Amino acid sequence: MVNLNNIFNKFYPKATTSPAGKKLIYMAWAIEITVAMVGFTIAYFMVQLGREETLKATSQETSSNVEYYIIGLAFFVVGLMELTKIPLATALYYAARTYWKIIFFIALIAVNFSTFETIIQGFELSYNKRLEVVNIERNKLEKLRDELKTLGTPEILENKLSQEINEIQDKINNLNSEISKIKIEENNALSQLENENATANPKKDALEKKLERELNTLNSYRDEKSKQLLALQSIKSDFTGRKRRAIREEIANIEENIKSQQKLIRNIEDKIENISGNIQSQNIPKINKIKNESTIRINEIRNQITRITNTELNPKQNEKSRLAENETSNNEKIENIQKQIDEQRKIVIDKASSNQIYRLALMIKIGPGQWFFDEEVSEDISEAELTKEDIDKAFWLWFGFLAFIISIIGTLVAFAGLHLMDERMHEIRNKPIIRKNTFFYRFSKMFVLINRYLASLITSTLKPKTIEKIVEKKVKVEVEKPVYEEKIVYQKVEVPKEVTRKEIVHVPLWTQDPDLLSKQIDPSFVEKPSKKKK
Amino acid sequence: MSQLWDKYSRADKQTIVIIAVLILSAKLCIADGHFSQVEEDEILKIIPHEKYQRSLLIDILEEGAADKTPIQEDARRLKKLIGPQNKPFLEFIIAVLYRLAEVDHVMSEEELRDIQIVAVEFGVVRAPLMKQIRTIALKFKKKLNIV
Repeated sequence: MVNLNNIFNKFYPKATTSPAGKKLIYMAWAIEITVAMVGFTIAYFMVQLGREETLKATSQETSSNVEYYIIGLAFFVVGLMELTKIPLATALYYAARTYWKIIFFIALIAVNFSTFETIIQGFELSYNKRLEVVNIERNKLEKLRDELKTLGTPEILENKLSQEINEIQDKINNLNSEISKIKIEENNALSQLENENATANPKKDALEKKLERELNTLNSYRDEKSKQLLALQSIKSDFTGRKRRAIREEIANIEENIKSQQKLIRNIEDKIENISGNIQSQNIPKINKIKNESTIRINEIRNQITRITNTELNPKQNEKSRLAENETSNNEKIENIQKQIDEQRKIVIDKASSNQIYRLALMIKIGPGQWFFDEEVSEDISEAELTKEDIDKAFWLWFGFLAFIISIIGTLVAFAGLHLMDERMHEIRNKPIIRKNTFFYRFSKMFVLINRYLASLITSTLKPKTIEKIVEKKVKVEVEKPVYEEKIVYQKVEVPKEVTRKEIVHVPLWTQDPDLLSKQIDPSFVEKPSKKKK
Repeated sequence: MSQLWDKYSRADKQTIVIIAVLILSAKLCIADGHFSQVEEDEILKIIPHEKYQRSLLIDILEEGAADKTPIQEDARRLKKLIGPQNKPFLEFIIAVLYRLAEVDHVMSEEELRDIQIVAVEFGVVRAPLMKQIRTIALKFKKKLNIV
């Protein structure tokens, strides 16, 4: 049977892809219409919900409450917008200019985002409805857990309290150390002030130096007097008494000097005292100021300490002592709540296990939660241990991703359909993919070159290297001795050759022909032999 | 009834379409009473084929040229096979016939008449106006090299 199918496919290639493209376009429309219907349903649902709520609140249907109709209409527009997606995709596909392409692309993204929102809203509605039953029981469980937390175990509470008390005492200690610091600062300031004043008055210094000098002089007088006295006592032979008289006179002079010297010293000391008294009277306000400041600060800190003690420390200590007293009754309460929690946990697990979202959340928590989010999950985790965050995460991972796909799949299918129906596609397909002047070709070529370079590098490195070294070796040199041979001389020897030459030899033949017989031979005619030799 | 259509009736739809195009082309070329070598070469140029298929195509062309069934009947059958929804393909066939008619630089009255008949039968034009047919043919001018 004749088969020209391949000819047909080449003859009109669009015919092979066009039907599939058409089908894809129909499918894209089906998706978009369904999504639009979701939008319309949400719009209707919003109006209906609004009506019911108004009816519940006012117990009569009021026609003036149009807010819900507006919201409903907004969602209706969203539904209508879905139907523009395929025309927009067509416009983008066939747009001739780049700026038109950009505009249509932005429009398409906006419409897709709206689809995403619509689908998420739809999923969220069902998500809330489904979780409602489990959430009631979950809330009860959470309440019980909170209650248990507030009661807490007595040991934990006691530890917590003692820790808090320690912290408060540390605070008080810090304040006390601050007081001592202030006192030290005060003393330092006073001593510094004294030093400053002392250095500030040079007259006092001079007087003190003078006093020292005068005291030295006084001492020298005294030493001299004692020497004279010793000399007076040591005199043994003095008949006239002249020596003793002279020494006594000398002593009397020295005593006068001492007296005058003492007088001078007293004067100097008085002067010094006067100067010191003046300085002290000048520093009194400064000293008072320093002292007052430090007293105020110390008082403030002391007040703070008393406040902390009264408001924080004492209540904690009282609570601690109260806890110790009520330990037994508290334990009973905790046990009771724990029992209630266990029962409620079973109820939650029972209801949540039949809920798809909880199951998904649990699966995500055990699976991808551990793999991608670095969550540590205990082996005996159940639906009751899932937090709100876990469930929300599951929602966004599952339904968010699904909504994203739904929002873009219509456009992508439309693009695929348009591409298959496009005649240009076959022309492009028949063109060679890689041309030498394209970036892709050059890029791929670069890899080939790198590959070659690496290969040559590896072979060159793996190849054993030949190192050239000059090694001196003793080689026996064999000297070729010349061998004298007789020289063969070729001589030309003429060899006689046999040469055959053709010669005409007259041979008489017998004949009776009268013509020949009558013919006379011309003796001058001699036949010459030809030069050519055959 | 055309014996040629009966002969190839068991072949695939795509094969039958190609055979029908060949028959239409052959009948158009023979319409002016002479099926030239240039026309044959042009048909074989338009119909992409492998070397081994050349003789088969020539045989079909000869059969088509020898067939006495009117071109209108072939066009009707082909349209029924392709379906009226595939208008671009029907237009493409009209463009092929137009190209064959102008390949020898002389468009005879018979050729023009046959193209108009096929175009009307295909339903790509409502009235046998050559201007409209030319417009259709020019849609594929790049592919079929129509001037």
